[in-house]
Amino acid sequence: MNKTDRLLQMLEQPQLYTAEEWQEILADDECRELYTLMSKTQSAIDAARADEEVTDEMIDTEWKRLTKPHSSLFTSHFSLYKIAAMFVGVLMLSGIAFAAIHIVSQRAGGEDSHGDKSMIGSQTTITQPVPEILQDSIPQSRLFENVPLDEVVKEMALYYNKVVDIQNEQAHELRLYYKWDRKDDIRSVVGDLNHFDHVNLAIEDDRLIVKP
Amino acid sequence: MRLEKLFKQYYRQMYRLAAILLHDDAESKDVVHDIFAHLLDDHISLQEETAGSYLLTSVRNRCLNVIRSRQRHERIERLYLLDLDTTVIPTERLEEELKALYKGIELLKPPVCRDIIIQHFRDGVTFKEIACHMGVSETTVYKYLRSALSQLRTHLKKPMSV
Repeated sequence: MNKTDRLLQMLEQPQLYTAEEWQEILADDECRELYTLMSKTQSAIDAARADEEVTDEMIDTEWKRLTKPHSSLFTSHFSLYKIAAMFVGVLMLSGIAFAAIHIVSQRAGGEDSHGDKSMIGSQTTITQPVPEILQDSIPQSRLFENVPLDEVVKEMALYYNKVVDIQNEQAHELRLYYKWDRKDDIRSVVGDLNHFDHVNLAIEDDRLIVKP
Repeated sequence: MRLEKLFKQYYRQMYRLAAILLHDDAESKDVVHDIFAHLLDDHISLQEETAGSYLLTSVRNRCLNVIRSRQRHERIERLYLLDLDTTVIPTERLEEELKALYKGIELLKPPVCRDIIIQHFRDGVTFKEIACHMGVSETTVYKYLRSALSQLRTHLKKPMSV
């Protein structure tokens, strides 16, 4: 079987192949190009489908979905947010729950971002020029709910432009509840996370390391 | 209400961009939904001139977050672009490429090549199932598919006539 046929076969059930097998086949220029072409073909078909299927009725339905249950959801959203803001962290290891409560210590650092946030919340009109809006449109905070440590770290590393180095084999079994404020710098986030039992992160040059 | 007007004005564009990036109807709807839910929650109103670019950038960023949060094999299964950097290619160029590709799909020859592309990418039929329906081996389906994709590649490379 030639390599492009193998790629097509692998695409039928991607989960059956290891990360190494995927890495190997996608390192091949021809296979990679074929994959990209298929990805774009999928996008082209989805774009055409969108043009066909988005009708005025669908937009109306979606608008109703947005406005109807909204008021009742609001309260639960709010309390969730509040709890998260208090930095209640819960961490689980192989089914046994460890709880660690951590109250924000870096008041000084926290205040800046707080000030900004309330401004945005109470402003009735966003008046910044477009480039700043581009930044603002990335949600400022991200709530990790029961997410494995390795995934949390990978997502953060992408954001802070670091390379992940996972040296702790248990990183996938550790699950976190954590509210990540993207405005915080990486050092204070790592400091926060290190308050959890079993979590030991370090930053060395461009690497974000999960130590055993 | 002003937000309703924006919703109706930009829904198509926003949904379309999400569908291009996420390849999924329900997830695309959710992305647009969440953006407006956030605007409603925080009582944010947008300025007329910048609303469009704000909304579309929000769609793109949320989609990138969805993509980033997925494991490698999930990204591959959904045929997401491999390099996130290339996902951020200028939208105009992407639009041109997609138009060229769609035109290319309509022109695929022989018709069986077109059928396979449509069945797989639009209707989500696996290559194995297609082979079964056609009563041929999977290798044969791959052969047509490779032919179809190489025809599409030439469409993509051809500069768009103005």
